[in-house]
Amino acid sequence: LLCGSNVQEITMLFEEFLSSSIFKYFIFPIGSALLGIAIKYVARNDQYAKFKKEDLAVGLELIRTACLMYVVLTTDRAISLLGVNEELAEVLANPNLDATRASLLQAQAQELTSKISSAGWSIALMFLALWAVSTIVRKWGWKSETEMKPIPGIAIPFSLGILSLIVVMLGASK
Amino acid sequence: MKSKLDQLSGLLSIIAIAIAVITFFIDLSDVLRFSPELIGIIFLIAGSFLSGMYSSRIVKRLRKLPHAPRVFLSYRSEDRSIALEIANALRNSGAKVWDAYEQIQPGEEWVAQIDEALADTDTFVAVLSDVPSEWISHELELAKNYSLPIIPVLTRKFILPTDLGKLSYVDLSVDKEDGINRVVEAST
Repeated sequence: LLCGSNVQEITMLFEEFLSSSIFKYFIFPIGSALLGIAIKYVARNDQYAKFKKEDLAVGLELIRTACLMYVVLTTDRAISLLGVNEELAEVLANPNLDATRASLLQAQAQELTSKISSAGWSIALMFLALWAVSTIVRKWGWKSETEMKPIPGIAIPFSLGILSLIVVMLGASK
Repeated sequence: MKSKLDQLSGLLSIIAIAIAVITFFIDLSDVLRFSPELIGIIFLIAGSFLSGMYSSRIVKRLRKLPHAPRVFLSYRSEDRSIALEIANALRNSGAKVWDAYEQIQPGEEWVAQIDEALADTDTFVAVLSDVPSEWISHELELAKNYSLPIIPVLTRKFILPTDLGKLSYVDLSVDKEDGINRVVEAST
């Protein structure tokens, strides 16, 4: 039976697992890729056909997911920065100034600002990578109308997709 | 002009990927230093590249895993009603049936589709009558090339062509229901 302390313990263990390097840099990207492959296979129109190598071509979807995750993460940070600045303004406006609290909020605001200032370039770079990989797949990735080439069509986008997800997870935990 | 632009976009995309990969790795090594995580990540990236490179081999292995039996149904349009009965019985027993009439839409290129379907087939069922059909013969040839088990199903009594003469067949003219059950048993 689950009592209150047990639930709290399980929640803590789960949170610890979700913030661990193993989850962020290995389980999350591999899981996303496997889920993408499974969805592609299950949702395929031609259910008669067996598993095809083209089902493994989920690299572009992974890069796209990473790009959007980074945009959401940056927006989230911008909202946090607004909140911190508002709080700092309130503290500074108070006649009985709490210097410790003010310096803490200022440090937080500085940290968030530095993260947001580099986010623009990171987002631009990620979308550039998405365009570049799409171009490579379109130009050199197809053997025939339905069949893909293993290296430019599957391997390059797949490995870059995994790399982009890792970079986003790294950016989120920085 | 358009082809030059296309070439340029290809070149630019390679440069962009190189820049992105270098920046990503600088970013990673800057934060993780030379920790076990970074080495693990490098192995993971290399592994994902290799899995894409050897995707054909991986897929071949995956195809050997248990799956619903796939049956290719070959018949003349005149025998469609009996072919449909066989297809329904097969589907009810959990098999996936490929029927050219259902799969190929008017105006679609069919040779490649038939070849692709046969490559994924486990059993080839040929519904035959005393009227020879060029297309059934063509599909039979392809099925032999893929070394598929072939089940000849006769809609009426006649002598099988010599190339199928050695195969045990199902005669629907004797007992249709029993014959269809035998086809289902042999295919699933």
